[in-house]
Amino acid sequence: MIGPTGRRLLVWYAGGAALLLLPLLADIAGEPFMVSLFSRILIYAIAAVSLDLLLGFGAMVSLGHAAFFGVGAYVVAILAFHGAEGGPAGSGFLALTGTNNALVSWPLAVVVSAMAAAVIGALSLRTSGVYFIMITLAFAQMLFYFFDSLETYGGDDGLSIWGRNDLLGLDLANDTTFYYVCFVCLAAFLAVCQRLVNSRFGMVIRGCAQNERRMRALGFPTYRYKLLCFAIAGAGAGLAGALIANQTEYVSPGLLHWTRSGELLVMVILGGMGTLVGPVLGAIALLLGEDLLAIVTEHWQLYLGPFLILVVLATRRGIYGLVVGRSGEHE
Amino acid sequence: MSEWLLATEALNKSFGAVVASEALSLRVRRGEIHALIGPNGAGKTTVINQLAGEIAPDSGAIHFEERDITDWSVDRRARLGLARTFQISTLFDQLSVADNLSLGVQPRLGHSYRFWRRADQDPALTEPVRMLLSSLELEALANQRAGSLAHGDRRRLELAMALAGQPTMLLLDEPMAGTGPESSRDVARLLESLKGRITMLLVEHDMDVVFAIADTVSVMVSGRCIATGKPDDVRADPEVRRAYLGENG
Repeated sequence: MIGPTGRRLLVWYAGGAALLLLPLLADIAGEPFMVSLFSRILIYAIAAVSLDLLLGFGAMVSLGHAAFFGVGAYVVAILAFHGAEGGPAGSGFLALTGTNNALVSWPLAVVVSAMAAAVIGALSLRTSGVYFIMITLAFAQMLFYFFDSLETYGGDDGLSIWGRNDLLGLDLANDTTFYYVCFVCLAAFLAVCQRLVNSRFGMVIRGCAQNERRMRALGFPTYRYKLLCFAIAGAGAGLAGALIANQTEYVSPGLLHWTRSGELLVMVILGGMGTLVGPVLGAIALLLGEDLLAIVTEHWQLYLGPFLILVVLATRRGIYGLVVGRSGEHE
Repeated sequence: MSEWLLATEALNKSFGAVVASEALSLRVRRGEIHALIGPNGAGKTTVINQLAGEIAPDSGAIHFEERDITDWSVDRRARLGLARTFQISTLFDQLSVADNLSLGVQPRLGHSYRFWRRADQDPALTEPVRMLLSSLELEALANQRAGSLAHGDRRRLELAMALAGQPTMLLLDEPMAGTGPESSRDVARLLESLKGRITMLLVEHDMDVVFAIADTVSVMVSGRCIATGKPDDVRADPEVRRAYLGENG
Protein backbone atom coordinates (compact mmCIF):
# COMPACT_ATOMS: atom_id res chain seq x y z
CA MET A 1 0.00 0.00 0.00
CA ILE A 2 1.38 3.40 -0.94
CA GLY A 3 0.91 6.35 1.41
CA PRO A 4 -0.68 9.65 0.39
CA THR A 5 2.69 11.28 -0.31
CA GLY A 6 3.70 8.37 -2.49
CA ARG A 7 0.41 8.46 -4.35
CA ARG A 8 0.73 12.20 -4.80
CA LEU A 9 4.15 11.78 -6.41
CA LEU A 10 2.78 8.91 -8.47
CA VAL A 11 0.06 11.17 -9.89
CA TRP A 12 2.68 13.78 -10.83
CA TYR A 13 5.19 11.39 -12.39
CA ALA A 14 2.87 8.83 -13.97
CA GLY A 15 0.59 11.57 -15.28
CA GLY A 16 3.52 13.57 -16.58
CA ALA A 17 5.06 10.54 -18.27
CA ALA A 18 1.77 9.52 -19.88
CA LEU A 19 1.24 13.01 -21.27
CA LEU A 20 4.86 13.18 -22.43
CA LEU A 21 4.50 9.93 -24.35
CA LEU A 22 0.99 10.61 -25.60
CA PRO A 23 1.83 11.36 -29.26
CA LEU A 24 3.78 8.10 -29.38
CA LEU A 25 0.92 6.14 -27.79
CA ALA A 26 -1.60 7.74 -30.13
CA ASP A 27 0.55 6.73 -33.06
CA ILE A 28 0.80 3.14 -31.84
CA ALA A 29 -2.94 2.99 -31.20
CA GLY A 30 -3.56 4.37 -34.69
CA GLU A 31 -5.57 7.30 -33.29
CA PRO A 32 -3.61 10.37 -34.46
CA PHE A 33 -6.56 12.68 -33.72
CA MET A 34 -5.88 12.07 -30.03
CA VAL A 35 -2.87 14.37 -30.28
CA SER A 36 -5.00 17.31 -31.26
CA LEU A 37 -7.66 16.43 -28.69
CA PHE A 38 -5.04 16.32 -25.97
CA SER A 39 -3.52 19.62 -27.10
CA ARG A 40 -6.93 21.09 -26.44
CA ILE A 41 -7.08 19.33 -23.08
CA LEU A 42 -3.69 20.68 -22.01
CA ILE A 43 -4.71 24.20 -23.02
CA TYR A 44 -7.90 24.00 -20.98
CA ALA A 45 -5.88 22.54 -18.14
CA ILE A 46 -3.78 25.74 -18.06
CA ALA A 47 -6.94 27.82 -17.87
CA ALA A 48 -8.40 25.56 -15.17
CA VAL A 49 -5.23 25.70 -13.06
CA SER A 50 -5.25 29.49 -13.30
CA LEU A 51 -8.89 29.54 -12.17
CA ASP A 52 -7.99 27.28 -9.25
CA LEU A 53 -5.58 29.96 -7.99
CA LEU A 54 -8.71 32.02 -7.43
CA LEU A 55 -11.20 29.33 -6.52
CA GLY A 56 -9.20 26.77 -4.59
CA PHE A 57 -6.47 28.88 -3.05
CA GLY A 58 -8.10 32.29 -2.82
CA ALA A 59 -11.76 31.30 -2.31
CA MET A 60 -12.72 33.85 -4.96
CA VAL A 61 -15.51 32.23 -6.93
CA SER A 62 -15.20 33.88 -10.31
CA LEU A 63 -17.86 33.06 -12.88
CA GLY A 64 -16.14 35.14 -15.55
CA HIS A 65 -12.78 33.52 -16.00
CA ALA A 66 -13.36 32.66 -19.66
CA ALA A 67 -13.28 36.40 -20.39
CA PHE A 68 -9.50 36.45 -19.89
CA PHE A 69 -9.17 33.22 -21.88
CA GLY A 70 -11.04 34.90 -24.74
CA VAL A 71 -9.11 38.17 -24.48
CA GLY A 72 -5.83 36.25 -24.82
CA ALA A 73 -7.16 34.41 -27.87
CA TYR A 74 -8.41 37.60 -29.50
CA VAL A 75 -5.07 39.37 -28.97
CA VAL A 76 -3.31 36.62 -30.92
CA ALA A 77 -5.99 36.50 -33.61
CA ILE A 78 -6.17 40.28 -34.10
CA LEU A 79 -2.41 40.58 -34.36
CA ALA A 80 -2.33 37.73 -36.88
CA PHE A 81 -5.20 39.36 -38.81
CA HIS A 82 -3.29 42.63 -39.20
CA GLY A 83 -0.12 40.74 -39.96
CA ALA A 84 -1.83 38.97 -42.85
CA GLU A 85 -3.83 41.97 -44.13
CA GLY A 86 -0.68 44.08 -44.01
CA GLY A 87 -2.37 47.18 -42.69
CA PRO A 88 -1.90 48.46 -39.15
CA ALA A 89 -4.99 49.05 -37.04
CA GLY A 90 -5.53 52.41 -35.40
CA SER A 91 -3.25 55.34 -36.04
CA GLY A 92 -0.57 57.46 -34.47
CA PHE A 93 0.47 56.45 -31.00
CA LEU A 94 -2.10 53.67 -30.88
CA ALA A 95 -1.03 52.16 -34.19
CA LEU A 96 -1.05 48.40 -33.95
CA THR A 97 1.18 46.55 -36.33
CA GLY A 98 0.17 42.99 -36.88
CA THR A 99 2.52 40.15 -36.21
CA ASN A 100 2.61 36.43 -36.54
CA ASN A 101 5.53 36.06 -34.17
CA ALA A 102 4.55 34.03 -31.11
CA LEU A 103 7.32 35.65 -29.06
CA VAL A 104 5.48 38.94 -29.48
CA SER A 105 1.84 38.00 -29.56
CA TRP A 106 1.78 35.37 -26.78
CA PRO A 107 3.41 37.57 -24.13
CA LEU A 108 1.17 40.40 -25.26
CA ALA A 109 -1.87 38.14 -24.85
CA VAL A 110 -0.73 37.35 -21.32
CA VAL A 111 -0.17 41.02 -20.44
CA VAL A 112 -3.44 42.25 -21.91
CA SER A 113 -5.40 39.50 -20.14
CA ALA A 114 -3.68 40.33 -16.87
CA MET A 115 -4.57 43.99 -17.32
CA ALA A 116 -8.18 43.16 -18.11
CA ALA A 117 -8.26 41.01 -14.99
CA ALA A 118 -6.70 43.81 -12.94
CA VAL A 119 -9.42 46.25 -14.00
CA ILE A 120 -12.29 43.80 -13.53
CA GLY A 121 -10.79 42.51 -10.30
CA ALA A 122 -10.32 46.01 -8.91
CA LEU A 123 -14.06 46.56 -9.12
CA SER A 124 -15.27 43.03 -8.38
CA LEU A 125 -13.12 42.52 -5.28
CA ARG A 126 -14.97 45.33 -3.54
CA THR A 127 -17.74 42.76 -3.15
CA SER A 128 -17.70 39.22 -1.87
CA GLY A 129 -19.76 36.06 -1.76
CA VAL A 130 -22.63 35.78 -4.20
CA TYR A 131 -22.19 39.41 -5.31
CA PHE A 132 -18.67 38.61 -6.42
CA ILE A 133 -19.94 35.68 -8.50
CA MET A 134 -22.56 37.90 -10.11
CA ILE A 135 -20.31 40.86 -10.83
CA THR A 136 -17.56 38.74 -12.41
CA LEU A 137 -20.25 37.12 -14.54
CA ALA A 138 -21.56 40.54 -15.56
CA PHE A 139 -18.14 41.88 -16.55
CA ALA A 140 -17.36 38.75 -18.54
CA GLN A 141 -20.64 39.07 -20.41
CA MET A 142 -19.81 42.71 -21.16
CA LEU A 143 -16.58 41.59 -22.79
CA PHE A 144 -18.49 38.84 -24.61
CA TYR A 145 -20.85 41.41 -26.16
CA PHE A 146 -17.93 43.72 -26.90
CA PHE A 147 -16.24 41.11 -29.09
CA ASP A 148 -19.60 39.98 -30.40
CA SER A 149 -20.14 43.46 -31.86
CA LEU A 150 -16.61 44.02 -33.23
CA GLU A 151 -17.50 43.89 -36.92
CA THR A 152 -13.90 44.43 -38.07
CA TYR A 153 -12.93 41.20 -36.39
CA GLY A 154 -15.84 39.09 -37.53
CA GLY A 155 -18.39 40.00 -34.88
CA ASP A 156 -20.41 36.96 -33.88
CA ASP A 157 -18.98 34.96 -36.79
CA GLY A 158 -15.55 34.99 -35.21
CA LEU A 159 -12.22 35.45 -36.89
CA SER A 160 -10.13 32.88 -38.74
CA ILE A 161 -6.37 32.89 -38.58
CA TRP A 162 -4.27 31.89 -41.56
CA GLY A 163 -1.95 29.35 -40.02
CA ARG A 164 -0.43 29.12 -36.61
CA ASN A 165 2.11 31.59 -35.16
CA ASP A 166 5.86 31.38 -35.75
CA LEU A 167 7.69 30.21 -32.67
CA LEU A 168 11.47 30.08 -32.95
CA GLY A 169 11.25 28.38 -36.31
CA LEU A 170 9.26 25.43 -34.93
CA ASP A 171 6.68 23.90 -37.23
CA LEU A 172 3.57 24.57 -35.16
CA ALA A 173 1.39 23.38 -38.00
CA ASN A 174 2.60 19.92 -37.10
CA ASP A 175 0.17 18.66 -34.45
CA THR A 176 2.82 16.76 -32.51
CA THR A 177 5.13 19.77 -32.32
CA PHE A 178 2.23 21.94 -31.24
CA TYR A 179 1.25 19.35 -28.63
CA TYR A 180 4.72 19.55 -27.08
CA VAL A 181 4.58 23.33 -27.04
CA CYS A 182 1.34 23.08 -25.05
CA PHE A 183 2.91 20.45 -22.81
CA VAL A 184 5.87 22.71 -22.02
CA CYS A 185 3.56 25.67 -21.37
CA LEU A 186 1.44 23.63 -18.93
CA ALA A 187 4.51 22.20 -17.18
CA ALA A 188 6.06 25.65 -16.83
CA PHE A 189 2.82 27.15 -15.58
CA LEU A 190 2.38 24.36 -13.02
CA ALA A 191 5.95 24.87 -11.82
CA VAL A 192 5.37 28.60 -11.39
CA CYS A 193 2.08 28.01 -9.55
CA GLN A 194 3.71 25.39 -7.34
CA ARG A 195 6.25 28.00 -6.19
CA LEU A 196 3.60 30.66 -5.96
CA VAL A 197 1.15 28.86 -3.67
CA ASN A 198 3.90 27.91 -1.22
CA SER A 199 5.57 31.33 -1.18
CA ARG A 200 4.84 34.12 1.27
CA PHE A 201 2.42 35.55 -1.26
CA GLY A 202 0.68 32.20 -1.61
CA MET A 203 0.32 31.88 2.16
CA VAL A 204 -1.24 35.34 2.27
CA ILE A 205 -3.75 34.32 -0.40
CA ARG A 206 -4.63 31.13 1.47
CA GLY A 207 -4.96 33.12 4.67
CA CYS A 208 -7.35 35.56 2.97
CA ALA A 209 -9.42 32.62 1.76
CA GLN A 210 -9.81 31.18 5.22
CA ASN A 211 -10.17 34.25 7.36
CA GLU A 212 -9.89 37.65 5.78
CA ARG A 213 -10.89 39.46 8.97
CA ARG A 214 -7.95 37.96 10.80
CA MET A 215 -5.60 38.79 7.93
CA ARG A 216 -6.52 42.47 8.23
CA ALA A 217 -6.13 42.35 11.99
CA LEU A 218 -2.63 40.95 11.48
CA GLY A 219 -1.78 43.90 9.25
CA PHE A 220 -2.29 42.65 5.69
CA PRO A 221 -3.90 45.00 3.17
CA THR A 222 -5.86 42.03 1.82
CA TYR A 223 -7.48 43.78 -1.13
CA ARG A 224 -4.16 44.41 -2.88
CA TYR A 225 -2.99 40.84 -2.48
CA LYS A 226 -6.25 39.42 -3.76
CA LEU A 227 -6.20 41.81 -6.70
CA LEU A 228 -2.70 40.71 -7.68
CA CYS A 229 -3.80 37.08 -7.43
CA PHE A 230 -6.76 37.88 -9.68
CA ALA A 231 -4.43 39.47 -12.26
CA ILE A 232 -2.03 36.51 -12.14
CA ALA A 233 -4.93 34.13 -12.72
CA GLY A 234 -6.02 36.32 -15.65
CA ALA A 235 -2.52 36.11 -17.08
CA GLY A 236 -2.63 32.30 -16.94
CA ALA A 237 -5.97 32.25 -18.72
CA GLY A 238 -4.52 34.64 -21.31
CA LEU A 239 -1.71 32.20 -22.06
CA ALA A 240 -4.25 29.43 -22.51
CA GLY A 241 -6.25 31.73 -24.80
CA ALA A 242 -3.20 32.44 -26.96
CA LEU A 243 -2.69 28.69 -27.34
CA ILE A 244 -6.33 27.88 -28.12
CA ALA A 245 -6.36 30.53 -30.87
CA ASN A 246 -3.41 28.74 -32.43
CA GLN A 247 -4.85 25.29 -31.91
CA THR A 248 -8.16 25.97 -33.64
CA GLU A 249 -6.80 28.75 -35.91
CA TYR A 250 -10.06 30.49 -35.18
CA VAL A 251 -11.49 32.68 -32.43
CA SER A 252 -15.09 33.61 -31.67
CA PRO A 253 -17.01 35.35 -28.89
CA GLY A 254 -18.02 31.87 -27.75
CA LEU A 255 -14.62 31.63 -26.06
CA LEU A 256 -15.72 34.31 -23.60
CA HIS A 257 -19.25 33.06 -23.03
CA TRP A 258 -20.29 32.44 -19.44
CA THR A 259 -20.96 28.78 -20.17
CA ARG A 260 -17.24 28.50 -20.91
CA SER A 261 -16.49 30.00 -17.49
CA GLY A 262 -18.85 27.39 -16.08
CA GLU A 263 -16.97 24.60 -17.84
CA LEU A 264 -13.72 25.82 -16.31
CA LEU A 265 -15.35 25.81 -12.88
CA VAL A 266 -16.56 22.25 -13.45
CA MET A 267 -13.03 21.16 -14.41
CA VAL A 268 -11.61 22.63 -11.21
CA ILE A 269 -14.28 21.20 -8.92
CA LEU A 270 -14.37 17.83 -10.68
CA GLY A 271 -10.60 17.46 -10.56
CA GLY A 272 -10.12 18.75 -7.04
CA MET A 273 -9.91 22.39 -6.11
CA GLY A 274 -7.16 23.71 -3.90
CA THR A 275 -4.68 21.39 -5.61
CA LEU A 276 -2.63 22.04 -8.73
CA VAL A 277 -2.92 18.61 -10.33
CA GLY A 278 -6.66 18.48 -9.71
CA PRO A 279 -7.69 20.96 -12.41
CA VAL A 280 -5.50 19.11 -14.92
CA LEU A 281 -7.26 15.85 -14.06
CA GLY A 282 -10.59 17.67 -14.27
CA ALA A 283 -9.81 19.02 -17.74
CA ILE A 284 -8.82 15.55 -18.92
CA ALA A 285 -11.90 13.91 -17.41
CA LEU A 286 -14.38 16.45 -18.71
CA LEU A 287 -13.07 16.89 -22.26
CA LEU A 288 -12.16 13.24 -22.77
CA GLY A 289 -15.46 12.20 -21.21
CA GLU A 290 -17.36 14.49 -23.58
CA ASP A 291 -15.49 13.09 -26.53
CA LEU A 292 -15.84 9.43 -25.68
CA LEU A 293 -19.48 9.66 -24.61
CA ALA A 294 -20.30 11.54 -27.80
CA ILE A 295 -19.17 8.46 -29.75
CA VAL A 296 -21.53 6.22 -27.79
CA THR A 297 -24.59 8.44 -27.71
CA GLU A 298 -25.61 11.85 -28.93
CA HIS A 299 -27.33 12.46 -25.61
CA TRP A 300 -23.98 12.34 -23.79
CA GLN A 301 -24.82 15.32 -21.61
CA LEU A 302 -27.56 13.24 -20.02
CA TYR A 303 -24.90 10.91 -18.63
CA LEU A 304 -22.14 13.38 -17.93
CA GLY A 305 -24.35 15.61 -15.76
CA PRO A 306 -25.29 13.01 -13.13
CA PHE A 307 -21.70 11.74 -13.16
CA LEU A 308 -20.43 15.21 -12.25
CA ILE A 309 -22.94 15.53 -9.44
CA LEU A 310 -21.90 12.13 -8.13
CA VAL A 311 -18.21 12.98 -8.10
CA VAL A 312 -18.82 16.28 -6.34
CA LEU A 313 -21.08 14.68 -3.72
CA ALA A 314 -19.02 11.55 -3.12
CA THR A 315 -15.53 13.02 -2.93
CA ARG A 316 -14.03 15.82 -0.97
CA ARG A 317 -11.37 16.86 -3.39
CA GLY A 318 -12.74 15.58 -6.65
CA ILE A 319 -10.81 13.03 -8.69
CA TYR A 320 -7.53 14.08 -7.13
CA GLY A 321 -8.93 13.42 -3.66
CA LEU A 322 -10.11 9.98 -4.82
CA VAL A 323 -6.65 9.05 -6.03
CA VAL A 324 -4.59 10.55 -3.25
CA GLY A 325 -6.92 10.00 -0.33
CA ARG A 326 -8.36 12.15 2.40
CA SER A 327 -5.12 13.67 3.53
CA GLY A 328 -4.68 15.24 0.10
CA GLU A 329 -3.55 18.54 1.53
CA HIS A 330 -2.29 21.46 -0.51
CA GLU A 331 0.75 20.11 -2.25
CA MET B 1 7.08 60.91 24.48
CA SER B 2 3.64 61.24 25.92
CA GLU B 3 2.67 59.25 28.96
CA TRP B 4 -0.42 57.98 27.15
CA LEU B 5 0.08 55.41 24.43
CA LEU B 6 -3.56 55.29 23.48
CA ALA B 7 -6.24 57.86 24.11
CA THR B 8 -9.79 58.30 22.91
CA GLU B 9 -11.63 61.58 22.87
CA ALA B 10 -15.37 61.53 23.40
CA LEU B 11 -16.08 58.48 21.27
CA ASN B 12 -19.72 58.08 20.39
CA LYS B 13 -21.26 55.12 18.67
CA SER B 14 -24.87 54.07 18.38
CA PHE B 15 -26.53 51.20 16.58
CA GLY B 16 -30.00 52.57 15.94
CA ALA B 17 -31.46 53.34 19.34
CA VAL B 18 -28.79 51.39 21.20
CA VAL B 19 -25.97 53.56 22.50
CA ALA B 20 -22.79 51.47 22.51
CA SER B 21 -20.32 54.23 23.35
CA GLU B 22 -21.21 57.57 24.89
CA ALA B 23 -18.62 60.33 25.27
CA LEU B 24 -16.05 57.68 25.97
CA SER B 25 -12.61 58.99 26.87
CA LEU B 26 -10.14 56.27 27.70
CA ARG B 27 -6.47 56.86 28.48
CA VAL B 28 -4.05 53.96 28.43
CA ARG B 29 -0.62 54.55 29.95
CA ARG B 30 2.44 53.20 28.15
CA GLY B 31 3.40 49.81 29.58
CA GLU B 32 0.37 49.21 31.77
CA ILE B 33 -2.30 46.56 31.81
CA HIS B 34 -5.52 48.49 31.61
CA ALA B 35 -8.61 46.39 32.31
CA LEU B 36 -11.98 47.31 30.88
CA ILE B 37 -14.80 45.70 32.79
CA GLY B 38 -18.55 46.01 32.89
CA PRO B 39 -21.71 43.95 32.73
CA ASN B 40 -22.74 42.16 29.54
CA GLY B 41 -23.89 44.60 26.88
CA ALA B 42 -21.92 47.49 28.34
CA GLY B 43 -20.20 48.00 24.98
CA LYS B 44 -16.73 46.65 25.74
CA THR B 45 -16.29 44.70 22.52
CA THR B 46 -17.59 47.68 20.55
CA VAL B 47 -14.80 49.75 22.08
CA ILE B 48 -12.24 47.14 21.01
CA ASN B 49 -13.69 47.08 17.51
CA GLN B 50 -13.50 50.86 17.26
CA LEU B 51 -9.92 50.92 18.50
CA ALA B 52 -8.94 48.15 16.08
CA GLY B 53 -10.68 49.96 13.23
CA GLU B 54 -13.40 47.47 12.35
CA ILE B 55 -16.13 49.90 13.37
CA ALA B 56 -15.95 53.63 12.72
CA PRO B 57 -17.12 55.84 15.60
CA ASP B 58 -19.98 58.26 14.92
CA SER B 59 -17.87 61.04 16.41
CA GLY B 60 -14.76 61.47 18.50
CA ALA B 61 -11.13 60.66 17.89
CA ILE B 62 -8.61 57.90 18.62
CA HIS B 63 -4.95 58.68 19.19
CA PHE B 64 -2.25 56.03 19.21
CA GLU B 65 1.48 56.68 19.40
CA GLU B 66 0.64 60.38 19.26
CA ARG B 67 -1.06 60.05 15.90
CA ASP B 68 -4.70 60.50 15.04
CA ILE B 69 -5.66 57.07 13.72
CA THR B 70 -9.43 57.60 13.72
CA ASP B 71 -9.67 57.15 9.94
CA TRP B 72 -7.01 54.48 9.56
CA SER B 73 -7.84 51.04 8.19
CA VAL B 74 -7.58 47.93 10.34
CA ASP B 75 -4.43 46.65 8.65
CA ARG B 76 -2.66 50.01 8.83
CA ARG B 77 -3.31 50.23 12.58
CA ALA B 78 -1.98 46.72 12.99
CA ARG B 79 1.20 47.61 11.11
CA LEU B 80 1.70 50.57 13.44
CA GLY B 81 1.74 48.14 16.35
CA LEU B 82 -1.86 47.95 17.56
CA ALA B 83 -2.74 44.23 17.62
CA ARG B 84 -5.85 42.51 18.84
CA THR B 85 -7.28 39.15 19.80
CA PHE B 86 -10.83 38.05 19.22
CA GLN B 87 -13.40 36.91 21.74
CA ILE B 88 -14.20 33.95 19.49
CA SER B 89 -10.97 32.41 18.24
CA THR B 90 -10.38 33.64 14.71
CA LEU B 91 -7.78 31.32 13.23
CA PHE B 92 -6.84 29.78 9.89
CA ASP B 93 -8.43 26.43 10.58
CA GLN B 94 -7.05 24.58 7.55
CA LEU B 95 -3.47 25.64 8.22
CA SER B 96 -1.06 24.18 10.73
CA VAL B 97 -0.32 25.97 13.98
CA ALA B 98 3.14 26.88 12.64
CA ASP B 99 1.65 28.31 9.43
CA ASN B 100 -0.86 30.33 11.45
CA LEU B 101 1.99 31.91 13.37
CA SER B 102 4.06 32.33 10.23
CA LEU B 103 1.28 34.49 8.79
CA GLY B 104 1.33 36.49 12.00
CA VAL B 105 5.05 37.12 11.59
CA GLN B 106 4.92 38.14 7.91
CA PRO B 107 3.58 41.71 8.22
CA ARG B 108 6.47 42.88 10.36
CA LEU B 109 8.95 41.80 7.65
CA GLY B 110 7.52 44.33 5.23
CA HIS B 111 5.41 43.46 2.20
CA SER B 112 4.63 39.89 1.18
CA TYR B 113 5.06 40.24 -2.57
CA ARG B 114 7.51 37.36 -2.53
CA PHE B 115 6.55 34.70 -4.99
CA TRP B 116 9.33 32.19 -5.32
CA ARG B 117 10.86 31.04 -2.05
CA ARG B 118 8.95 28.51 0.00
CA ALA B 119 7.58 30.29 3.07
CA ASP B 120 8.06 27.23 5.26
CA GLN B 121 11.78 27.15 4.46
CA ASP B 122 12.43 30.83 4.99
CA PRO B 123 14.46 31.32 8.19
CA ALA B 124 13.15 34.89 8.49
CA LEU B 125 9.78 33.26 9.20
CA THR B 126 10.62 29.91 10.70
CA GLU B 127 12.96 31.28 13.39
CA PRO B 128 10.45 33.70 14.96
CA VAL B 129 7.78 30.98 14.67
CA ARG B 130 9.99 28.52 16.54
CA MET B 131 10.52 31.04 19.32
CA LEU B 132 6.81 31.79 19.58
CA LEU B 133 5.99 28.10 19.68
CA SER B 134 8.39 27.53 22.54
CA SER B 135 7.44 30.61 24.55
CA LEU B 136 3.76 29.64 24.37
CA GLU B 137 4.41 25.93 24.82
CA LEU B 138 2.82 25.06 21.51
CA GLU B 139 5.80 23.12 20.06
CA ALA B 140 4.10 19.74 20.30
CA LEU B 141 1.19 21.06 18.26
CA ALA B 142 3.24 22.86 15.59
CA ASN B 143 2.12 20.61 12.74
CA GLN B 144 -1.48 20.13 13.81
CA ARG B 145 -4.23 21.86 11.90
CA ALA B 146 -5.57 24.82 13.90
CA GLY B 147 -9.10 23.53 13.31
CA SER B 148 -8.39 20.33 15.23
CA LEU B 149 -7.06 21.98 18.41
CA ALA B 150 -8.74 21.81 21.80
CA HIS B 151 -10.37 24.99 23.04
CA GLY B 152 -7.63 25.99 25.47
CA ASP B 153 -4.95 25.55 22.81
CA ARG B 154 -6.99 27.61 20.37
CA ARG B 155 -7.11 30.45 22.88
CA ARG B 156 -3.35 30.29 23.32
CA LEU B 157 -2.81 30.29 19.56
CA GLU B 158 -5.19 33.24 19.27
CA LEU B 159 -2.96 35.15 21.65
CA ALA B 160 0.26 33.90 20.05
CA MET B 161 -0.84 35.20 16.65
CA ALA B 162 -1.37 38.68 18.05
CA LEU B 163 2.06 38.51 19.66
CA ALA B 164 3.71 37.31 16.45
CA GLY B 165 3.69 40.80 15.00
CA GLN B 166 5.62 42.16 18.00
CA PRO B 167 3.00 44.82 18.74
CA THR B 168 3.42 47.80 21.04
CA MET B 169 -0.11 47.37 22.27
CA LEU B 170 -2.54 44.47 22.56
CA LEU B 171 -6.30 44.74 22.61
CA LEU B 172 -7.41 41.59 24.39
CA ASP B 173 -11.07 40.67 24.02
CA GLU B 174 -11.72 38.11 26.76
CA PRO B 175 -8.55 36.06 26.25
CA MET B 176 -9.70 33.54 28.85
CA ALA B 177 -13.23 33.10 27.54
CA GLY B 178 -14.41 29.54 28.01
CA THR B 179 -11.15 28.12 29.34
CA GLY B 180 -10.84 26.20 32.58
CA PRO B 181 -9.33 27.74 35.72
CA GLU B 182 -5.97 26.16 35.03
CA SER B 183 -5.47 27.60 31.55
CA SER B 184 -6.91 30.89 32.79
CA ARG B 185 -4.07 31.03 35.26
CA ASP B 186 -1.57 30.19 32.49
CA VAL B 187 -2.85 33.04 30.35
CA ALA B 188 -2.79 35.44 33.29
CA ARG B 189 0.79 34.47 34.04
CA LEU B 190 1.72 34.99 30.39
CA LEU B 191 0.11 38.44 30.30
CA GLU B 192 1.91 39.41 33.47
CA SER B 193 5.22 38.32 31.98
CA LEU B 194 4.59 40.66 29.04
CA LYS B 195 3.78 43.58 31.31
CA GLY B 196 6.03 46.55 30.72
CA ARG B 197 7.04 45.41 27.25
CA ILE B 198 3.58 45.43 25.74
CA THR B 199 0.78 47.75 26.74
CA MET B 200 -2.53 45.95 27.11
CA LEU B 201 -6.18 46.83 27.13
CA LEU B 202 -7.87 43.83 28.66
CA VAL B 203 -11.57 43.05 28.47
CA GLU B 204 -12.23 40.21 30.86
CA HIS B 205 -15.00 38.82 33.01
CA ASP B 206 -12.82 36.92 35.44
CA MET B 207 -12.57 39.48 38.28
CA ASP B 208 -9.92 37.54 40.17
CA VAL B 209 -7.62 37.82 37.17
CA VAL B 210 -8.47 41.45 36.50
CA PHE B 211 -7.78 42.62 40.03
CA ALA B 212 -4.63 40.50 40.24
CA ILE B 213 -2.84 41.76 37.15
CA ALA B 214 -4.34 45.11 36.11
CA ASP B 215 -2.63 48.42 36.88
CA THR B 216 -5.68 50.43 36.01
CA VAL B 217 -9.33 49.45 35.82
CA SER B 218 -12.04 51.25 33.90
CA VAL B 219 -15.68 50.35 34.44
CA MET B 220 -18.22 50.66 31.65
CA VAL B 221 -21.98 50.65 32.03
CA SER B 222 -24.31 51.16 29.05
CA GLY B 223 -21.63 52.74 26.88
CA ARG B 224 -20.36 55.14 29.52
CA CYS B 225 -17.20 54.92 31.56
CA ILE B 226 -18.31 55.42 35.16
CA ALA B 227 -14.98 55.00 36.91
CA THR B 228 -11.27 54.74 36.21
CA GLY B 229 -8.46 54.22 38.65
CA LYS B 230 -6.29 51.82 40.57
CA PRO B 231 -7.95 48.44 41.19
CA ASP B 232 -8.45 49.05 44.91
CA ASP B 233 -9.95 52.50 44.39
CA VAL B 234 -12.32 51.18 41.75
CA ARG B 235 -13.32 48.29 43.95
CA ALA B 236 -14.19 50.73 46.72
CA ASP B 237 -16.08 53.14 44.48
CA PRO B 238 -19.72 53.17 45.63
CA GLU B 239 -21.13 53.80 42.19
CA VAL B 240 -19.22 50.85 40.77
CA ARG B 241 -20.39 48.63 43.61
CA ARG B 242 -23.97 49.62 42.96
CA ALA B 243 -23.84 49.39 39.17
CA TYR B 244 -21.76 46.36 38.69
CA LEU B 245 -19.89 44.51 41.37
CA GLY B 246 -22.82 44.49 43.75
CA GLU B 247 -25.08 42.82 41.23
CA ASN B 248 -22.73 39.91 40.87
CA GLY B 249 -22.24 39.58 44.62
